[in-house]
Amino acid sequence: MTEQEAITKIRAVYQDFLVKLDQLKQKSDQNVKDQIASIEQKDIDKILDKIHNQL
Amino acid sequence: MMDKRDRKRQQGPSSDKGLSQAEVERILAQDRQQQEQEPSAKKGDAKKEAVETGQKIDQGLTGFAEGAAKNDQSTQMEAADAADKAKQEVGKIAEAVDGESPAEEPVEPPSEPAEPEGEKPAEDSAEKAELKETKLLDGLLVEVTQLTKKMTEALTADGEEDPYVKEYKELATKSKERLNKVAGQEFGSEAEKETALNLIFKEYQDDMQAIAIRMSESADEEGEEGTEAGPPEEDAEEIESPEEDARAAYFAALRKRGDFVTRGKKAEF
Repeated sequence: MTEQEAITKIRAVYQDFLVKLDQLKQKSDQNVKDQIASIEQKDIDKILDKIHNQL
Repeated sequence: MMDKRDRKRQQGPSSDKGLSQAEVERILAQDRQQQEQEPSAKKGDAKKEAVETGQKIDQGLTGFAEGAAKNDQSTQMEAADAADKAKQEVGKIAEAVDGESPAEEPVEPPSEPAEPEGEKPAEDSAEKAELKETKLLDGLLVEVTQLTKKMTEALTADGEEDPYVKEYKELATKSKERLNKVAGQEFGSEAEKETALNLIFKEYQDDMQAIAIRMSESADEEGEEGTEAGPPEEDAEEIESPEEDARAAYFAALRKRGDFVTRGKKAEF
């Protein structure tokens, strides 16, 4: 392998790494969003339970 | 129709007088191709590139750990694995260069990523995290209030409140409630809570932009009916950066009122 070919391959590896990192960031953000939704859903459930109990 | 002279001119000089234009172009193209294929890098450049790339990978990993995913242990582990693999691969590529002797000229191992904050004294870290979180929450709440105030001012320039103001105010109230609610909840870590707060604010910006787009479309429909001195064409749908959301919403509000051009009002956030 020549120096130039090696440099090209190294850059490609780096680009792949950045893509993977971005995918992981999105995955992590989605995890937190799910957590927020779960917190908010719990509040809604509490209100619904309260209404149900009053009926 | 092309006559003989034209054809001759197009083909260039005859072979006895030199190369034709087509031949010259073909040779130049060959040269370019060869130049592209030929290695232009000097000896040692690949190794240098490998070291620099290793450092960039570490920086990327550190940024990831400090950013949105700092709270998420599993994605952090995955990112660290991806970084290790990438660094190993980069090292192998640099060693595989013709004539390189890996034993004599090993690729310098890139520096290790910054250690997480967990190693600092626990009390200090907890206090700092709490302070940081409070500052973040306060900052986001203030930002929501200020943006809503600006939107309200922009949409009530003549003393009459625009129907969209109600939407902006409701959105602000809802977003503040969400921010406060999430801030009051237990998360795995303070960092995780910070991410959650930032995501709620991002959703607030997205919702603001959605209103702005509707306003803009409605203003365009109204504009078609009368106004000649239309505002500059700024398509809110093309704005992708979250940082531009507030500005886009503000411009859309001004456009709706026709203030942008007639009053030359300057929007500053």
